[in-house]
Amino acid sequence: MSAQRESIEIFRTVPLCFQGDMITAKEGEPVAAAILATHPDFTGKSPVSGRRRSPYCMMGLCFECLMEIDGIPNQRACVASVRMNMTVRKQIGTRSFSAGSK
Amino acid sequence: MSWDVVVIGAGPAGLAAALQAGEFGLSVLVLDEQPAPGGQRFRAIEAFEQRCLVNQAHLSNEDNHGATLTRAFRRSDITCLSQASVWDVSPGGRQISYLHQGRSYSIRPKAIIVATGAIERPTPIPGWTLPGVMTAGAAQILLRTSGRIPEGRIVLLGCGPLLLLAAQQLRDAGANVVALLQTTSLADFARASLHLPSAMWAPKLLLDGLKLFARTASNRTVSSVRGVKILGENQVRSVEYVAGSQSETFDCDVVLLHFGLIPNIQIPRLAGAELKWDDELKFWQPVTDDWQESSIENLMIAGDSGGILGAEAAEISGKLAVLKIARRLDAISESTLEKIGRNLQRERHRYAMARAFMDAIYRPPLDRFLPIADTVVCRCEEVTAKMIEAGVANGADGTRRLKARVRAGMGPCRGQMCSMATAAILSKKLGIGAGDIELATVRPPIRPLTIGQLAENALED
Ligand code: FES
Repeated sequence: MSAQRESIEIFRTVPLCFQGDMITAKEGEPVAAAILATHPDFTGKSPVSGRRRSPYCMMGLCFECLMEIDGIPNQRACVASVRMNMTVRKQIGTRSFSAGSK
Repeated sequence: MSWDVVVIGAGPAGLAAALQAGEFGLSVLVLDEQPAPGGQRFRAIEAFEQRCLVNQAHLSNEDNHGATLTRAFRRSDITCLSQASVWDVSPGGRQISYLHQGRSYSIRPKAIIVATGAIERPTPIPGWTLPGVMTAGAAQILLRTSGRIPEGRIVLLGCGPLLLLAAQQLRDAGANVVALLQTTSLADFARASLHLPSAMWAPKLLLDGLKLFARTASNRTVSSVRGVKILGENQVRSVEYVAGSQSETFDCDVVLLHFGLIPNIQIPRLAGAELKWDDELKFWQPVTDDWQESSIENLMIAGDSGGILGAEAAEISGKLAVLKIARRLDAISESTLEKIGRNLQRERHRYAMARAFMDAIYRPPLDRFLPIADTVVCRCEEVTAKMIEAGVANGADGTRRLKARVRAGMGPCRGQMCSMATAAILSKKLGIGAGDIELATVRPPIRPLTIGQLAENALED
């Protein structure tokens, strides 16, 4: 992923800790966008087959971007916005998604 | 205090509805899942406008309009909760439960306007779960919200005006779009021309549509594409397809899929509103009357979540959705209702007629894209077409039984990604119309919710 060509950036860049590494993210952008830009390989694995997955819809529908954000699992990284000093980790599949019945 | 109206979604329909309700003096709360108002059509429009200003770039007329609408909304005294995720609407639509800043709340407004927009029709094709595959809409969102474009060689695949628009926007942003593979064929244009006379009533929409396919947005454009496979081990390596009698392969790093839009009906389904199957457009939509009211009293459906008519029409149906509510609360007179209402209804009708033309061209090629064999249909539970077929062979005669047998639709997305394709396979195998396949019930919570959040749910009036 690269920045839009020849444009002046309006975002403030902030540090974000991903898998223990510090990466640079843009404040206010979706967490998933920041991760995709630096680690385009994959963001999680299917809990069923273990195959690699990454964000698909970027609008909160597919749940392919579930990650642990600031210690809370099952966060949709495409819905969460980047703030100062976030900690993000990949997660393998969903962990105890719902309080109600399935 | 009990809100007069709660609007779910801050896209064109939701914003127009909220502003209209505010004008009538109703108390309005807007719940929106995104960080800023605008919906998907005007996603992050405020930041985008700012970026355009700083870079002395031109804002399109549509975007300019979106920015103006958003500004009017910001300047109003309407309460808007951003990043608020509705996780339940009770049967009958009396109570809304939502998460905001880590806490859960339930409220009981006098009326609800659902303005949750559209989603891109999920179309399972071999390899669509590979990293590197996204929807075209997802790429647009990346561009809008963070100014980023997918790196590498991009192939766009599918059909519909948004596919072409995305190709255009990505190319303008400097993306390496290597191919545009359209399932649309010449026959689609011929059939669509039957709708031309009625479409002439909304010439702007029509012209926009025609302009879109006049421009070629990539190095290579192919139409009538079928037999598509996305290949790769751990990520996308290439796309294989058939065009004419030729089978071709295209090396690429990113595949962006788009097969048109369908209404986002998750909330009407939760509430138990009556739905109808549109056999032309191949999707479910809520049944609504001339005033956008669903089968449930005081549950209105505005914008694309009530049927795909686009952003301009969404504003009209948003305003329309408020009128009956305002009348019942005695905020407007019967004659105001009639006067404003009839005008809006006429306008809405014009958009519907123009849309028929576009729909005819970009009819989703669903027969040719019915998932088979090892194609993953349900992404969450990795249920393949073959497994679904086996479920049917073992007696699953509807979505509900199928869910119990093969777990299709049991994952966190609550069937949003697979229910259409699953129903299509059921319909084919059982030999009944897609509209006769019962829909599985949607159960709350439809968004991730912890037990702690549920236990501490605050009930407000
Ligand atoms: S990418 Fe689909 S929910 Fe986040």
